[in-house]
Amino acid sequence: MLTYTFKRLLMTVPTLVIVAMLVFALMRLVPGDPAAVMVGDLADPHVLEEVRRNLALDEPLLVQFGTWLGNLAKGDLGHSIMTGEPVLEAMLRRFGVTAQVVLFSIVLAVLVAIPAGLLAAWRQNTRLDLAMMFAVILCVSVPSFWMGILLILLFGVQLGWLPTIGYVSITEDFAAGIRYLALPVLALLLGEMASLTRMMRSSTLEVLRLEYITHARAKGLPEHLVLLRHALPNAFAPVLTLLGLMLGSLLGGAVVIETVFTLPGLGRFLVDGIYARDYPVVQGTLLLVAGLYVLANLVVDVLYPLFDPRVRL
Amino acid sequence: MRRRRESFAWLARPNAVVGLSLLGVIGLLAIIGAAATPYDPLVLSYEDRLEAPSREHWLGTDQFGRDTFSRLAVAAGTSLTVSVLTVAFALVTGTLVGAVAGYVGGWCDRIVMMLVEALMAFPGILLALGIMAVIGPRRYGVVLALGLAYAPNVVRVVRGVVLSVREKEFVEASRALGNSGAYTVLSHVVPACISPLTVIGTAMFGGALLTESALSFLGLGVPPPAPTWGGMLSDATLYMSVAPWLSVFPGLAISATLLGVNLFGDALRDRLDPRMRGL
Amino acid sequence: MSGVAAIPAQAAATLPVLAIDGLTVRFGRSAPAIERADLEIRAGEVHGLVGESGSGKTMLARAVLRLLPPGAAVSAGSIRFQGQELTTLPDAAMRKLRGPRIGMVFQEPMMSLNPALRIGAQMAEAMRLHTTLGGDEIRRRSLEMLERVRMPDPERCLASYPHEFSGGMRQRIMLASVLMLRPALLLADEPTTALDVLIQQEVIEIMLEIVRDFGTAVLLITHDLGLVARYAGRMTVMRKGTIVETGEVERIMSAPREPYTRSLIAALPGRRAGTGGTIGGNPLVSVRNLSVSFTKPARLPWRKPTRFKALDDISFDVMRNETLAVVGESGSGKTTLGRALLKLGPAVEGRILLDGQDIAGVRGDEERRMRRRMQVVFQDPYASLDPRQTIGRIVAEGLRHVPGVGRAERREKVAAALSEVGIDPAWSDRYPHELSGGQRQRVGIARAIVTEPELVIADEAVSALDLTVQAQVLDLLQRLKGRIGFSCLFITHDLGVVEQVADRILVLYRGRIVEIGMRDAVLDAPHHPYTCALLNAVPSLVPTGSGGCALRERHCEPPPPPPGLVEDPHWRGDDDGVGRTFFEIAPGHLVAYGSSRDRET
Repeated sequence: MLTYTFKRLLMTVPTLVIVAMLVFALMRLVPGDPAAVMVGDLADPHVLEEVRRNLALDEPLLVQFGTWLGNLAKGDLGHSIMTGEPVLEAMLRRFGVTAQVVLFSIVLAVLVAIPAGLLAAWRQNTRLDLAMMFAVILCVSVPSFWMGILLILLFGVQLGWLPTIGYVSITEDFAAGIRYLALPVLALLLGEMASLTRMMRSSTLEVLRLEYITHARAKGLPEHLVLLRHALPNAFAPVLTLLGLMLGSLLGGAVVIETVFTLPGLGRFLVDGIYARDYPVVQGTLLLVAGLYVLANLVVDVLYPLFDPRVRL
Repeated sequence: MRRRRESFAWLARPNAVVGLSLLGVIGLLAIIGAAATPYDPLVLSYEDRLEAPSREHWLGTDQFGRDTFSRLAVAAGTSLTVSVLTVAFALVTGTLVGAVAGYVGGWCDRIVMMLVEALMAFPGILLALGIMAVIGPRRYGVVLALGLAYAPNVVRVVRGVVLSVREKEFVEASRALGNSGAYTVLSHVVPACISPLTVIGTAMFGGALLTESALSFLGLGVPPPAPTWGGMLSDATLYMSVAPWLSVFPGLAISATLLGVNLFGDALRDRLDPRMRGL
Repeated sequence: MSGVAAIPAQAAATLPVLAIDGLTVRFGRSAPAIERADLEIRAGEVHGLVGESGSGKTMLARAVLRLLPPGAAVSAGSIRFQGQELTTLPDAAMRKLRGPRIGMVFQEPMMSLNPALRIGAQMAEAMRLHTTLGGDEIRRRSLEMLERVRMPDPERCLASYPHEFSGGMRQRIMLASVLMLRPALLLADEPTTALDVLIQQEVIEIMLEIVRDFGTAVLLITHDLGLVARYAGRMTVMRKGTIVETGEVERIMSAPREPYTRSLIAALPGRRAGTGGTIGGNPLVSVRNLSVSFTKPARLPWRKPTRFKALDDISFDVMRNETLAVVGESGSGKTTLGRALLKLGPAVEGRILLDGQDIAGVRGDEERRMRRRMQVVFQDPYASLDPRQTIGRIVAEGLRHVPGVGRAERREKVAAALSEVGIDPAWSDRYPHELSGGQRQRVGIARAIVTEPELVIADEAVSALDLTVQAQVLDLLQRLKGRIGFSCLFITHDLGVVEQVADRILVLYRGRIVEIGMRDAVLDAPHHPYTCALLNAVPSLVPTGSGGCALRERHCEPPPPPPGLVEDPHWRGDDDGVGRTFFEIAPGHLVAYGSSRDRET
């Protein structure tokens, strides 16, 4: 178990290094002088010179990468061209918003999808199952940003129940915060919840065919125990892996949803950064999101043996 | 003959029928868009701005008085082309890299997989956004960005198939008969990849379409004035209270296409899966 | 709660434990999977239920517990357990019977324990459900049961997960957890089929010992007539969902009444007349000091990878036209040996000579020519044929490198090979999934013989087949061998099959040869303790006149080592101690021993 965790940890190191390398390379591909790219074309020549030195631009590429990695390790991601504030600080401030949206979505999706998928599999080919699978395929076919627009049309424009624009932190005013989060979370959630339900269903179906389920029934266990104690943990293991991957699509979806609902989150920050050619911001957000994603999958893999003790690397 | 008929029977299942019909409708829309639209999708007409659906303008007009139906039709062509090209790009590069990595193995395989792992650390749309940020909004830039975002999936699948098929007894039997590695790959390994590639190709088509729409929605996809479903939706958000229909039809088009792809993909997977288990 | 309690004690003693009467099971409206089956199991008896795959024997057992696969249902007949009708019993009452009254053991020990739960939790589960015992008492009884099935270290076992144990161990755990409830009836569905020969015997004997103590009746479902002959009192033969014959085991074995039972017994592998005589001349294949190692990557990158020797210093010859049977259990290295001869495995040490030429150095066209002389038939007829190719193409593949064979001639040769193995050449555009297991194996053989090889390596080539199909395929191989005249390296774990096909026998144990010699010498006068153990473990059925057979128990005791030699150290598990040597007991009969005591001291 310890070896496993340790080994899994080791495996993320090259991934993270290559991720950093990719982002570094991407930003070097931007046409023009890298220093000018990082501080903006209109910057003071002294600042430009300072940045050139800081980025070691006169050295070979590998040294440049090393210097850049070193800065990264110190938390120095440069300054935003738009606002001039350090990128790391600006990101962390906005990260809270994205985290709320994504975490609420993932928790709600799991709470609904796991029981739903279990139920659908247990009642395979009944009307209930067919209805659920129909709902699932509808939900996965609606893009989250259109769902967001429809929700705004319905709850904001037509009914006027919920705010459609802006954001209040739940740490300041919980009730208001929830009201602002409700629609974005719902829009982001439906598709992911649906695909999670489908995954849980197929995974449960696979498990229900196995002999240890028959064995559990042959011991005289009632159906609910067969499902909850024997099918659930085994069916959940592959779904757990999907959860890690889902975090990626939620983070990606958040980029668009934050634009729809004008939430001041990380995704919005990235998109604004791209509009403004604010490359330090683009680079920083890409790194942060990819890092988070790698980390989340690491956590998933470390948790995996709890549900399937057979796993080995 | 008997077998031939059996192998197409799955197309008559409800999933496949509904899915193909939806895709057919969208395809028809794209053909209309390419051949002849009722109005020019690009010509501005200020006296017709934000009109509700009517007999002249079936789906209404946008803020510049452009006919929504015509724009939707032209956008269908754009979205479908971009998605098809993306899938083709991802399949070709992914298959080549995956097959080589799986067959050669060793260090080559390890380096490729590390790269794939790192590329997959970016949620698809984010990688595409990053690439678009560098190259700027361009029609074929979208294909490149999306293609690079999806290719790692293909690499993984193909490599997995190659690795598992390489261990199969029928491949060993072929080698025992004195066949060369190249022959074995062509006659046994490549055919084994076709089913899984069809399945993930279909899924990728849906994903590419969705991501392309999202990019266009953000204004970072196919650049204006070319109409795109995502771009139309993005424009429509400004007029939600005065012209809500503008927010409905492009979204409906995206969802109908995705529904078609998903239904068809499900039917396809049901058809191909029993064989895939034999891999 | 009427049923069982209401029956007077004397009546209960004479009542059958299980009485199945006219049972019919159907999937929807299709033809019945089981049709009007009758079966009676008496208290405390071991009842064998024999049939080939698809006979409905598993379905019958599952119908008793109402654990039929989805879509299947009992459509007629009755099942009475201790006088109580089960077919009309409500689900809740049925659940009370499952476990404490009727237990079930499954075939696949790898799949029948939940991988996500600790053994202790799985054992305690049924006890908690069906008894009022406290946790400590349940734990005590679990430990006691694990000890009874001879699990080493029961304490640790309770806290472990199933994947930490081998198949045989898991099957014991399974038995412990099912028998702990002391059911009146145990349904044992192929309980030892997936296990190695020696472990098979151990597990089934443990099971029967406990069952005897508890007075539990057993329905032993199996395809193995030998098992029934040795352990069951009465038996029932099933075929295609119907009961063919039922009665005392001895009566049915010695004088079967029904033609199907007779054909089953006739299909039992047995010794051919004639030993194949002495085979002289130059060997076709000579294997000298062959070793094959696998490296297992280390669990941490800076540790050294572990090396595992699958074969260790093997030397033998294969003569022309002979069948050399390689016998061994899983992990003996027998499959590695076949693959090494075909140059399929990892690099080898030592030499393999085909007609005096080392196969290692051969390259290019010469290698192709050499490969054409050696062919292989694999065990799994599902995995060994490419599912995406027609059988015609599969068979033709072997002819690609035969120079001067044109398209028309190739088609002709394929057709000839197919008809040779009993497959209609008109089928050559069919795909493997359209064929039965036996037919697929015939296609595999056709692919092997189409190049007219000199050596055919048959790796467990009949193990996956039903008894009657197995007999046909063995006959086919024998006939082809006579006609084409190839040598055969027949790799198998099944001593019955060995007895039928072998001219000579080579016994492998954990990567080393322990005994090699002519068939009759090895089978009738084995000298190595491992060979003896194998022979003792397998009940052997010998045909009597009148279409029946009789159980022949072997009580083989290895003779003491020749003077100056000691028992094989490899068998005792200390490979580093004394030296190892082969002693020629009789001409051509070599047995492994430890070398003389002087070197030990």
